[in-house]
This record gives sequence, structure tokens and C-alpha cells, in this order.
Amino acid sequence: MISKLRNLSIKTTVIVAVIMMGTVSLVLTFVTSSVFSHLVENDKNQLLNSIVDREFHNISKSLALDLQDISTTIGESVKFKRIFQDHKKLENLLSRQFGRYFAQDGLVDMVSIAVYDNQYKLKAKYARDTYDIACKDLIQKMLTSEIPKRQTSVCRQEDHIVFSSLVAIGGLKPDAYVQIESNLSRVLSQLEENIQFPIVVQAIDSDIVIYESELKNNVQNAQPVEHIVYYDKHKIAKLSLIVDVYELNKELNRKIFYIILGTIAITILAISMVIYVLGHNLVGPMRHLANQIQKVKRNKKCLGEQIQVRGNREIQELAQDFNAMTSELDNLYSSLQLMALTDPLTRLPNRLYLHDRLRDLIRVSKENSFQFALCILDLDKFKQINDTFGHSAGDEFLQVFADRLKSSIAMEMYCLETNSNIKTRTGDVFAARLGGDEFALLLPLIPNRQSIISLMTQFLAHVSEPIISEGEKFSLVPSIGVAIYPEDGEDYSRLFRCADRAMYLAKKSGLGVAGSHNRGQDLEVG
Amino acid sequence: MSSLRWLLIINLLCVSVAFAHKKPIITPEHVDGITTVHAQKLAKLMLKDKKLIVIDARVMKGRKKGFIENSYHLPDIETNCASLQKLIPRLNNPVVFYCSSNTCGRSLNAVQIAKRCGYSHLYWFRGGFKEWKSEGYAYKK
Repeated sequence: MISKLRNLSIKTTVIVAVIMMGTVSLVLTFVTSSVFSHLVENDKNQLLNSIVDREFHNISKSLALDLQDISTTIGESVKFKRIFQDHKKLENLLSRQFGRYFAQDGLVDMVSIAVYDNQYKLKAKYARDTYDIACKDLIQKMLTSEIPKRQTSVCRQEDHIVFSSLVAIGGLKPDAYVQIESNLSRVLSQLEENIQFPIVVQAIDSDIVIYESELKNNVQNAQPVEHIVYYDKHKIAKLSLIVDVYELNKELNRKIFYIILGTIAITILAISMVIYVLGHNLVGPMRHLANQIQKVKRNKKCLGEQIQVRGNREIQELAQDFNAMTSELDNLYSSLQLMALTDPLTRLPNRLYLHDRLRDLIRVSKENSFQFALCILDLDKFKQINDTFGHSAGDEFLQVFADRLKSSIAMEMYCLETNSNIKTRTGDVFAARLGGDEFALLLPLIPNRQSIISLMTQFLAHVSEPIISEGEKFSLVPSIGVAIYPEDGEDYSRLFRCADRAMYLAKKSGLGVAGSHNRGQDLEVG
Repeated sequence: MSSLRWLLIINLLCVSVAFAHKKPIITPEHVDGITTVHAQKLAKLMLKDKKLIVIDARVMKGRKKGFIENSYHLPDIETNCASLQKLIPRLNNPVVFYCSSNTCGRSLNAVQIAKRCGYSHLYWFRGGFKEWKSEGYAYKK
């Protein structure tokens, strides 16, 4: 994967990286949204639970006060005190009082009533249907209480939950105790009304449904919120709030949608900005540099060309280094070219350069139907100079001859132009040292053979003037062989061979200039 | 001009009544020279001190809802040094006053009258009958 990425362009790599970042941010947004959603739901559930707890506490307290009121009313009645010791009459009284209070409006749904004496001995009781006293621990609670006061508890009896209250009658030193138990269903119904959510209540230790709201089935997108109801630090029931989550989920999904949309927009904006900035500061300048390198690779003449890039600091440093390097390479290349194509003694082009130039000239002349002359010069008696004055003197003479060759040929070509009205390209006149005492000349755009032979004859006079060295005069006289393109040869070797033969002929015939046809038959001697 | 003045006075009265209805006056938690007690403390005092006299400072309408056992009914509007002297001859006898709740000023009024009359051992059950009942202590009807 990473090796594949290495082959990508910077632009593609950057786009891939930004898209990956965008994807990561999108995933993070999804995760954050779901966490946010979960937190909202948790908060909502906690809030609902605390509301349920508070409401249940308030309603059960009201029920406790109501039961205490009923107990006190019964216990403080004159009749109650009068018949207290008569079990039968007391039971009758309880049954009448039960009939009076159990069906009243409000929270009380009385299921049993019992009376105890001040020793907690049961004096009489009355219960509805199959009910009995469910909370038998209240007497124990009253016994442990420092000052006699109302004791309450919530207990389960079969498929019902009852709220039980034990109240002291007769003040702080009670004469009797009245215990009343009430079904909790009215409390739950009131709770449901207060919190405005349908509820289902189950027993804590089994799946018995104690209370089920009639409105439960009206909720379409129901999501139960489980809650354990405590009374006096004891678990008493499992309560499920039937909450309609449709609106909440709709709102949450809408918010999540906007967040994701925002993230996508920001990612796209970030990608665009990164692409723009990197394209401007990194990719563009890098491409410019790469193009320049390709250009130099194709054409060495472009070595040394300076480029200007605007980008990051590193890119600018790279461009500066590139410019310095290409300048250095250009200098090195020029030096190498000079060394490879020039004769170090006379500073004239060497045989290799002549060959290249001759090939070029043949190609150009063939395309444009021009003719040109190749002249080969060989110094006569140069060996004697070397033998007499030494090689260093010989080298000196060769340098002087080369200088004369360059200046004379330019002048002679100028004369040729003015006399014949033919425009020669003086710049294309080419003098080279072939080696030892042998030189060559390339004369382009010559009018005819005769004019070139006469030009060479004049040239011979110029270069043959005596050279004074260490007080002595010496004359360096060359023999010149001339070959004309395309008459004497249409390719390099034939032309060269022809000029060479003409030079030998000139030397043999007695120090002068000789021209030759391509067949080497007719030689003209100047 | 006169009618306008009356209109303004009536308006002010209405506003003050409405204001008074919305925000019931909460009695102070402590009064100098008087011991404030809560239901549990009062219950303990009643069991411990046989001489303690409990006075219900409410009017009859309130007392009908229930009262603390052995309490005397002496509404604050009838409380003065003479009525107190008749009920509690000794000035150093411990006395506790109560009324309906902590928003009821009758017991506070009565206890301050008692203080002015020279009673030295005064208790004020600030929470009143509401707190007594709410705490689950037995009461009479």
C-alpha cells in the first residue's frame, strides 16, 4: 500500500491524505454524534427518573398524611375508646369505618385496617376480599423508634403493592395503634397523571404486572425507560416509563444530519484550500523544476539557464541550489567541450571538431545546393625548424602561423565577398589544426574553383611572410590542397581524400596551391 | 381629582393583596430571648418536662384540624399578660407556643407578648402543627 502511494504524484498523494483526513473526521463526527445522542438519552432518562422519584415521594407522603388523618379520626373517636376492650364491637366498628373510607376519592384505596393495644397486641382487624395485613414489620419499626411516631412501609401482597401506615393513638404515650393499608394503584395512577407518561409497574422479584397504564397502547414509537422505585431505601417495584421517542429522535437526527453536512462542507473546503496552497507553493514549483531538468536533458545548451520559482522556503532553496548546480555544470560542460574539440597549442578547433563541422556543412549545402571548399595545409620544411631550434620554438612558430591563419583567412574572405558580390558567411569560415604541421580550412559559399584557388594563392603570400625569432628570419610556407563540394566529393571521406591528394600534389609540384576534381584526374596548380 | 385618588388607592391595595397572596411571609428562624424548637425536640421536651405548657395560638378554625395533645387553646388575639397569668401563674414556667406552620405569625406574636409580660422560659415551635403532623407524631382531633 505504502509502496503504491510512493509512486503517486505529490498532488494525488496530498489529495489522498486530505480525503483520508476527511473520512477520519466524518467517522469521528458519526461517533461523536452517536455518543452525543446516547448522552442526551441518558440525561433524559436520568431527568425522568429523578422526576419519578420526586413525584412518588410527594404522593406517598400525601398518602401517609391521609392515612394518619383517617387513623387519628377513627382512634380519637369517643366510640372507639368506649368499645376498645370489646373485640367484637371493635371489629364491627372497623368494618363500618372501612366501608366509610375505602371508596373515597383521592389516593386512599384501603384494603385492610387493624387495631393494636399499647402492648402491640392485635385487638381487631378488617380486610377486603382475600387481603390480610401485608407489612408486619411496622410494629418492629415502632418499637425501635425513640418517640412513638407514624411508621410507613411498602409491601407486596400477591399481585398488589400496598402502602402501610401504623399510627399511634393518644399522644406521645399511646393507648393504641391503628394500622391501615392502602393499594398503591391510585398512587401510581396519580404519578402517571403528574409525569404525563404512561407507566407499567412490575414486581421487583417477578414479572407480575402490578399496574399497567391504559394509555400505553396510544404511544406509537414507544421506548420504555426502566426505573427502580425505592421507598425508605428499599426497592419496591420496577417502573417502565413509556416514552414517545419519535419527536426526540427526529430532532436528534436532524441535528446529526446538519453536523455531518457541515463536516463534509468543511472537509471539501479544506481539500480545496490544501490543493490550492500546495499546488501554488509546492506542486507548481516542483513541476517547473522537473520541466527544466527535462529540458536540460534534451538540450545541453539549456545548461546554465536560471529559473525563478515562488513557493515554500524549501522549494526556493532547492531552486537556488538547482540554479547554482546548472551554472557549475554549464561551466564544466563548456570546459570539457573546449578540451575535446580544441587544439591546446594553437587554440584552433581540432580534427574531431572539423569532422563534425564538415558533416554539418555537407548536410546544409546538400539541402540548399551550395558549394564549399575544403583546404588542407601542410607546412613545408617544418621538421628542419624543429631540428634546428627545438620543439618549443617549433610550437611557437605553429602558434604564430595559427594566428596568421585566422586573421588572413578572415581578411581574404572579406576580399572575396567585395569582389564577387557573393555573400559568404564569414562566421562559417573554419580553420582547424589536424595535427603536427597540418591544418585545414572550410570555406563555405564559394563562387567557383578558380576564385578559391586565387584566394588561396593570395592567402599563401600573407602567411608566408618571414617570422623573426631570436634575431633570425624564417619563412613558414604551406602547401595547400583544395577540394570543392560537391564536385570533388559528396561525402566527408572522399572530399578529405581529394583535398589531401591535392595538397601532396601542390607540395610535389613545388610549394603552392593545388585543386582537384573528384575523380583526382585534373589538377590545377596555382 | 378625588375619584382619581381613590382609584389609585384601590389599585395599590389590590396590588399589595395580590403580592401578599403570592409570597407568604416566612417567619424568622430565631427570635432573641426565645428558644426555637422543632417537632422532635418538642416531643422530647414534652416527655421529659412535665411542667411544660403547650399553647396553641391558632384560632378555632385551625385547631379543628387537629392539635397536639395536652395543649391549651389560647389564640394570639386573646393573648395578653392577664390571660397568660391565668394560665401560667409562674413566670419561670417553661412554655411553648405553636400555630399552623412556619408561615403563621400567631405563635410568634403570642411568644413575644409572653416575653414582654416577663416570662423567661419561652420556647417557640416555629414549624407548628404542619411539621408535627408531617413528622408523624400523634395528635388529637
